[in-house]
Amino acid sequence: MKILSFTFFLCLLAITSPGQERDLKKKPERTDKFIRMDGLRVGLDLSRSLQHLWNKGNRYGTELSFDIELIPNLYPVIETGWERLSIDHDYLEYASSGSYTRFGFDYNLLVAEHKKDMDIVYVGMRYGFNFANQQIKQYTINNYWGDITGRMGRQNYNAQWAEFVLGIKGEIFSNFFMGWSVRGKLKMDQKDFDMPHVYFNPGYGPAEKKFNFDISYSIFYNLPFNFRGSKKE
Amino acid sequence: MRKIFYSLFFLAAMAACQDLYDAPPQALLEVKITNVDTLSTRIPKVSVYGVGQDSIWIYQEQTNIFRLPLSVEETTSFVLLLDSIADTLTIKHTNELIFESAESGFYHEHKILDVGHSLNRIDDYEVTDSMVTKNWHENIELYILSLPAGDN
Repeated sequence: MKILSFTFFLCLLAITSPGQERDLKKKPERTDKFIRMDGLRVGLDLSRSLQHLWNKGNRYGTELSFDIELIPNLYPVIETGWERLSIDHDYLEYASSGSYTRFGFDYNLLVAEHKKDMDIVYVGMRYGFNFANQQIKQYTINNYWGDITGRMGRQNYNAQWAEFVLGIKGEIFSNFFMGWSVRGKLKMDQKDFDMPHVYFNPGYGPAEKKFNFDISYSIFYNLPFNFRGSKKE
Repeated sequence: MRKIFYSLFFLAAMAACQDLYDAPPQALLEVKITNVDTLSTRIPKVSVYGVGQDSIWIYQEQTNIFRLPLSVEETTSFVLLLDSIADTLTIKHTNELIFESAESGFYHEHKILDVGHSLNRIDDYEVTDSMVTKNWHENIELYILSLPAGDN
């Protein structure tokens, strides 16, 4: 017990000692305080049409993104798209589809050496919402007393969520980019039903999960028009 | 060897891409049989079929616990053959449609409202839990009479 008390005292001394104090508040200033991308970058998410490879059911969609370097290293982003999920097996024929939009920003962490260095490694945040519908086209319950079948009408719903993004965008040749991102999605609000529960949220993923992970792979083109009228060195 | 390895890898990858779906759960009524004669430890031979059904649900099974499927009508009736002595068991119940998931689909849960039976081998009953859910548990305890002397 004495040894523990002594160790604790030593730790306390080390923390409070003025000789050990480090100036953590001072950060090295960025040397790339310049706009490197003058135009508007338009992206197409290639991974949306391949989602059935890592998700259950036939899930596919299309997504476009638009971003611009508003101030050095800060890129406001709008992403909009639609998704559809259909599941068809012996007991259920389910379909859900809808459109979604996310807006937010990306912050570039990669320090550029010159203005032509367009590659970025970024972290970002998004607010997303969707408008969707789902339908049970047919269900079957096997029963000793005779199989039961039924169907349910179309139900409209919506949801809101927040996203945390980490990704890269690399310029593969002039004004053309490729990049991937990983995303953590946190559901904030969901219109739900008693029968059946909302199963799929376009743009978000499985509705029963409060938190979803996602990956995306996109190609981008920077529209070569300099709306600021600034000159590149 | 390498070709076999690649073929196996390809097959495994294909299998991984296949969607597998489970059948929906089923809520079954669980019946426990107890001898009225507390000294008797005899376990009856049970056969069960639904009234109006062609197929037998349980056939000649030596057990004192068995499960029965309820219909989606208000009343479900079974013929129970306990050591070849026939009794009718009628359950009056409600039905509720439950959505399990898009992967497995729907199923019904039931609530027992009333139980009726003939008095050949069955002497009495007790509803131990009226909720018939996918988590199977004892719902009804049937008290049965001992076999007449000479039938043992």
